Amino acid sequence: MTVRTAGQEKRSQTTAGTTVLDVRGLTVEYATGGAPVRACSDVSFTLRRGEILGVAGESGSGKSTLITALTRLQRPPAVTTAGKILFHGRDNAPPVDLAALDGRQLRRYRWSALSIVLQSAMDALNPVMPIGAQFADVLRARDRTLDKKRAWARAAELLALVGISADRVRAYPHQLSGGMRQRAAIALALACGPELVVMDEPTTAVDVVMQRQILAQVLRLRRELDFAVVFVTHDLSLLLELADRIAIMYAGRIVEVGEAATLYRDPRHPYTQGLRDSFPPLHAPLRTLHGIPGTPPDLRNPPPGCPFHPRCGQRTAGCDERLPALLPVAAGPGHEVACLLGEQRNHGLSEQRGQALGEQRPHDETEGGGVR
Amino acid sequence: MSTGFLASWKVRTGLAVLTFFMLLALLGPWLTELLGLDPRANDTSAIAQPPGGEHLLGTDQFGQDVLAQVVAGARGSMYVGLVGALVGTAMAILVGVPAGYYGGRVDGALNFLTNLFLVLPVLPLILIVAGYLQGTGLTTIALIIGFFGWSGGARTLRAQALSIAHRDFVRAMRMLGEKGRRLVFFEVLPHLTGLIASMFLHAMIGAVMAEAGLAFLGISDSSAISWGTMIQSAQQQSAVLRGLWWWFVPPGLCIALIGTAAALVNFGVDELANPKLRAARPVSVRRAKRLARAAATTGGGSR
Amino acid sequence: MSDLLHGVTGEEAGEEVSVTDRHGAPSPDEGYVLEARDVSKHFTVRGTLGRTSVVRAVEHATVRLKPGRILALVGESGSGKTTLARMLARFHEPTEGEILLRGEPVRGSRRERRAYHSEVQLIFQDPFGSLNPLHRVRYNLDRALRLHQPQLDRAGRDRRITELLERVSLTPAAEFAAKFPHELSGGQRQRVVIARALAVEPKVLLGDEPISMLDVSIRLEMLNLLQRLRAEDGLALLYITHDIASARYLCDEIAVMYAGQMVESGPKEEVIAAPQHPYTKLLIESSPDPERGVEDREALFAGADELGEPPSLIDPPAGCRFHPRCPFAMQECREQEPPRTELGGGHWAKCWLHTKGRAGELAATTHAEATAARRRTPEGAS
Repeated sequence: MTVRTAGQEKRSQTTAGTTVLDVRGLTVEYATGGAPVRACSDVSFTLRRGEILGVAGESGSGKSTLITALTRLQRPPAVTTAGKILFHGRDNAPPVDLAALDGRQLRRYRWSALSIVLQSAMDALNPVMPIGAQFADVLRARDRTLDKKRAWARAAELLALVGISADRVRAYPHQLSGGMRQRAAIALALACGPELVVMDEPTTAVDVVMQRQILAQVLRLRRELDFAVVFVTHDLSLLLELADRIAIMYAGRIVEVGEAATLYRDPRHPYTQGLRDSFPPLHAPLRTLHGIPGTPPDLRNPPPGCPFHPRCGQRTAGCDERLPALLPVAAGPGHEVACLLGEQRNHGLSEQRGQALGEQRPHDETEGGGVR
Repeated sequence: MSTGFLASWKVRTGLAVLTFFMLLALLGPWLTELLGLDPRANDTSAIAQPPGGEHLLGTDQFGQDVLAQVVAGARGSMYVGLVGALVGTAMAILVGVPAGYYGGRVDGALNFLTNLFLVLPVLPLILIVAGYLQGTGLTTIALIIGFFGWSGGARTLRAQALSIAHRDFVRAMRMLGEKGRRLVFFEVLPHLTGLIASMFLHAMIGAVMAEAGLAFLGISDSSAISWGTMIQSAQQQSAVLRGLWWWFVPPGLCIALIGTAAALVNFGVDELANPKLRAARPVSVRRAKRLARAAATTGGGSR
Repeated sequence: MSDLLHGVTGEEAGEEVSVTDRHGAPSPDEGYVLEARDVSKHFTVRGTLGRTSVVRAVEHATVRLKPGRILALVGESGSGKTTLARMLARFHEPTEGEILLRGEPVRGSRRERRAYHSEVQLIFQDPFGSLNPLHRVRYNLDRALRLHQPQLDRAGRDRRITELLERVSLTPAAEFAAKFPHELSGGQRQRVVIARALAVEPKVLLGDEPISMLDVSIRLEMLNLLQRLRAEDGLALLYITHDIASARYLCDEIAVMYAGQMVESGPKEEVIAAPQHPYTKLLIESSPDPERGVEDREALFAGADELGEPPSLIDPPAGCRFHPRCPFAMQECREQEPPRTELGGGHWAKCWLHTKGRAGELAATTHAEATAARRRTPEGAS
């Protein structure tokens, strides 16, 4: 705990926990033959400087769609049909809506403001170019005055950050192990000092020991370079150890969001509870666990009301009729749940916020949640 | 699956053209009779007439009706195309699939055979064989074309079968105790149907063209009528120099049409097999654009 | 299937599944249903310019499976665990050593292979790849029954298909039997794959990471299903995984592989609570475990950013293969392969620390701490 608060203090001195990314009502649809399919519905969250936000969900929960929308890497048939992605730069300039930028404007923000680490580094690195050349390309595209030699030297420095020795700078991607490639991809994402790095299952393709190393490096680099991370994965057990806050996605919506420790100890949404209990413990006494019965809904034909109600063991009257809104609960600071059970438990709270139902949530409540 | 296949205009056009020529080949004699034409009759009153009037597509040097000849030629060309493609595709399957599936020594032998046929100078060989076999009827031509034209297809099938044979579901069925032959025909081969269909179309157009080429070189049954023989006799009578374009353009156009149709159907097959091509289809792109525009005008601002 | 239950004699079912290396003295009457005795697998790969090199994927591994017991084989990718499973499934022939089914060495003739596979079935990792997309569920089960239960007539097979689908909780069975794989979710497909393997009425199931490609929320139900099959049918199960927590949940014993060799094995709780090999320790410390405190994150990850990588199997390090990464490495470790140390209760490990009386150091520190301490005293340890 002590170590962490020390890090926290250091961070707050530099950037004072201000918002770096503010996503509001983001909706992504897939244009298919019939009616458009909503892969992401009304997703809102804020991310503070230097924060790690974990996004967990199963396949089909919309987490990959969210990533491609955030980074503007989506391609038809996916279309962002509503919402804003407000990016607050370090320079105190007014926020920019990334969702509204065209390709040329967007290029100014890629790499230096926002970069991405993909699940497979083999997809991110060019197989016919030495690692160093790819770093040099990125660095020189951003800073035209940088000469080749200095760019390569900088590449070696960046690789050293993730524990790859300088002599590997001339290696081709296939000459590195899977874990090294992934680390190189992370170093590449950090090349231009971004304020936000989006990581899409960066450790799914590597082994547990390498996963540990990569996560430890991300944490260390975050401390040194002060960037925020959106970390997307299906592995909640990993996020519980890594993330500051976690958002749980189900059927294209955020169903619960809160601090990692609170989310682990006191999950309020039945889906989060089920997801947490889907990971057998490593040391605690064993008991029979059941995961979550059933299968995720077909987004082409979502169930009425709460999308989780067909699989939910705690459903009550009304679950199949009304879509619960994401509302704050008393579990912890900034903790929000979209569940009728939660609404009943926090009746007073939800009445206060009654007007917010269906509309856009008041923005300050997520920010207020950041105060620790 | 089939509706998706037919949804593409390319496939629909291609199939329509192919069907048209198939029907022409099947109903040709009945059709010419209905029109009162005889492809072999020499109308000495109308020699080398341009299109119009009594002879819709004109007549040739011998006073034969070009339209009747084209219709009759469809039958000859399509026959050679079909038989040649059948023979070629069947041989490609019989050699390529087992080579890929069994691997090892079987593959060694069959692959050697394939490579041998691949590097043989096919055209001179066909000339020699056709010359050796006296009385080259259309069937003989078709068989020769098929026999010499399977090796490319066999190679493709071998590569595909090789990759499918190592897929888990084939392993699983083998572990269950399925015999080799059943695995080849019930597990591996069904995955190659798209490829085989596209190969068959390729082989067909190839055979039609080969027949035309051979006829042009004089290897044909002089009594038979095909588009190849038409072009050949037009060439012999120097139709090009004398400006008798109506003699060689219709059969040439027919061959080109069949080639285009086969290519169009193949595009469709490709799109079906490769979802990335499908996503790039204009329909999908238009749909996405429409959705984006709708969102920009209605929802986007208000949220 | 019921005769199977009775076929497993009571006293056998209660005994331990044991994993030993080549020094263990196996006797044929110990009731092992399947045994890989001291097997090695070397693959020859052709490099550039026609140079060949040998990949030592598995070396001198011994696996013994008993009815009604579950053994978990844990290791990173490239540790040889999948190759070992594929040898047991007879996709590869071992380069050295032999595989014994009920004490009888198995041979390669086609007939014997079929008899072998009527007792040993493999569940593949990828449920999307192990079902032919062109065949309905019914076809898969029907073929298995035709091949292995030739006495059944059509009606009998239909009845059996319904039974099998109900066993793996795919109900209504008639509806699922008529479906194509693409109409099923990943978990449902894996259930079909298991049902197909069960149609053979095997004695041994080999699971090659059977849950790693499934959604998190349904993994446990799949493990519960395997657990039930073991309990009800007395199946012997080899569960191959990289996830040590799921191994603990399902199995009775754990065997740990590193770089093609087995390094430690024993009852699961002992191995996880007090690992006796530095690699096992590293593996356990690296696995996510929210229980151990989401509070103290920086400390949790401290020192974890340089843990090294497994060696090349073409040119593995001399001595103990883990020594380049091991914070406890001594002179012996670089020169000689460590001997096996029996630790009682079927628990053993191959590590020099035990021979040199330094085993206590393992429990006293963590891998990261030991590595950090090592760095502070450059090459001090003998």
